[in-house]
Amino acid sequence: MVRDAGDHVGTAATRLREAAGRAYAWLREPPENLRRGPLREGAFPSELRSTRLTTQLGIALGTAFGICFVTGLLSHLIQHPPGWFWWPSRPVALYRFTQGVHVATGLATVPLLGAKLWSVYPRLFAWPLVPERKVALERAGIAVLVAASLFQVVSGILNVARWYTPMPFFFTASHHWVAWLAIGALLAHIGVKLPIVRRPVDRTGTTLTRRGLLGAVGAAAGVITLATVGQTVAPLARVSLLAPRRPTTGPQQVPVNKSAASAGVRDAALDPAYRLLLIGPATRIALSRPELQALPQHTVVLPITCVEGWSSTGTWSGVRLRDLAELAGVDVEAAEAEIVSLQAGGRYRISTVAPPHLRDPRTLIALRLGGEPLAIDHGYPARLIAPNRPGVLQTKWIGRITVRGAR
Amino acid sequence: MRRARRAVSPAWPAVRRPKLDMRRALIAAGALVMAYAVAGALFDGDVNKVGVALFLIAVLVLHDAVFLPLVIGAGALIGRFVPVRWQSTTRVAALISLAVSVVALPLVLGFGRSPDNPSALPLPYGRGLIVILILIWIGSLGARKGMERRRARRGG
Repeated sequence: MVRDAGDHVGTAATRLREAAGRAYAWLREPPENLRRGPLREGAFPSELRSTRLTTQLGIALGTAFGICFVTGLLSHLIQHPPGWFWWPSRPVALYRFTQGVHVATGLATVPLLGAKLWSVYPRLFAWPLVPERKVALERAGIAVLVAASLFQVVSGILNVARWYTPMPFFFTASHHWVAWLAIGALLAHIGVKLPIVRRPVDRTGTTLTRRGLLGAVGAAAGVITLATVGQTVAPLARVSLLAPRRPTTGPQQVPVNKSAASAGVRDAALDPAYRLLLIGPATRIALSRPELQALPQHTVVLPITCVEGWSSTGTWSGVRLRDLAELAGVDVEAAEAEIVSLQAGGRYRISTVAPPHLRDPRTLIALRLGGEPLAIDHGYPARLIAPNRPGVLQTKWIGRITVRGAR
Repeated sequence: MRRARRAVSPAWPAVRRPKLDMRRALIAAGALVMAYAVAGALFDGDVNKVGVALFLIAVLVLHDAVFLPLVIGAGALIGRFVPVRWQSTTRVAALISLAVSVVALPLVLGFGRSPDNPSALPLPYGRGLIVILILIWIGSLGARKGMERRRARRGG
């Protein structure tokens, strides 16, 4: 009995394997009359497509992806610093530069990616549809690369436009991991195509037209950049008709990312009984806004830089964080601070100020912006403003500051 | 030998020996990085795996099965209806217009606006896009005219 059942399974498995083998052989050499539509020979007549065009677009696109990956990873590390990571507080506008480059490069990638995918589109319909195993594996890798690239560009555009509904996921974490996926697929893709990239230039085809197309792709990238980069390069703001932000549009001429109403802090922030709680290793001090104003005041000109790629320079006044740390009784040269907002929840309610930023005299607990008391949407009664730091870490509506020696 | 068996195809081109190691290294590194990405996403509680997978498939299918066929169809229409001497100019202007429109579309639709934060998306993006499109076509036609004039001068 047992042996019989085993035999049955054995023959069934053999039969299945044979059938699969026959199906694979058929797929490898399907009848010619199935070769229709995009599958027929000459379905894509454009003479513009060439290995050279694809290679040149590929090199430009690969460079753009590299820039976006490095600047994006940097932004991720600043926001979620692992133990080995260290980020300085100077130059003041370094993050403004790297994040501006990240978003501008990503937007300029649109025509590059579009033209690149157009140039290789006929390959999608290569005959036969099922190639030998090695090529099949390579094509699967390309599917991952294309999907991940489109994911990054499309989700980036949606995020800059603050349109989250079409994305069924949390943007930042997903954008981060899919970036790794895209870069991995890109490395493998470069490995496969290396001989083509290195091959001596093939000068056949309509040279002028290929140049014309490359010129058009470059011009498109240029127009997109000009139309948007004014969100961080203020002198271009008037030219940038498609900038998601204008550096001087907002309360007190500075844009806002999260309003007090959406953070649900209006009542707590405007409460006359408001006190900023300053906690040190052995001290616990409650400071009202007048008491904060009675401490030595300093004024700094610092940019607020959003991860979404816009930035705006403001003139901030308030108390140095290092003065508060001293008041709380820690060694300001080697201390860090945890800053907690009045917000009841939210991903950016708490931020940590690392030693380089804490001891920097330009790091303020700001009470005023542009000579006026902070607008409620800018973090009234008190907010953090530190040099070279993403906007989401410039905590607003501060309720508590805890300082301690840095480990 | 392995090399002799490998067919010369653009998808998997044949190579001389010394370059193989560089290729292998790149492919292996790429595979490792992809594995890191998948593992990282799986263990990250902030990542909605189903949502990300759906979006990956959706953008791939929408691009390859809808967007690109429409673009190629539009290119064919240009080839059919635009006079031959104006075709390259039209294609250049159409390409730039399309790329700018892709970036502009979510801004023009303006679903990201919120009443409590007027500093976000403060501009009239529909009007901005129209202005930019007009400038693109004027610029393309102007560049074409300039090139023709230069060529004529050189010829005469």
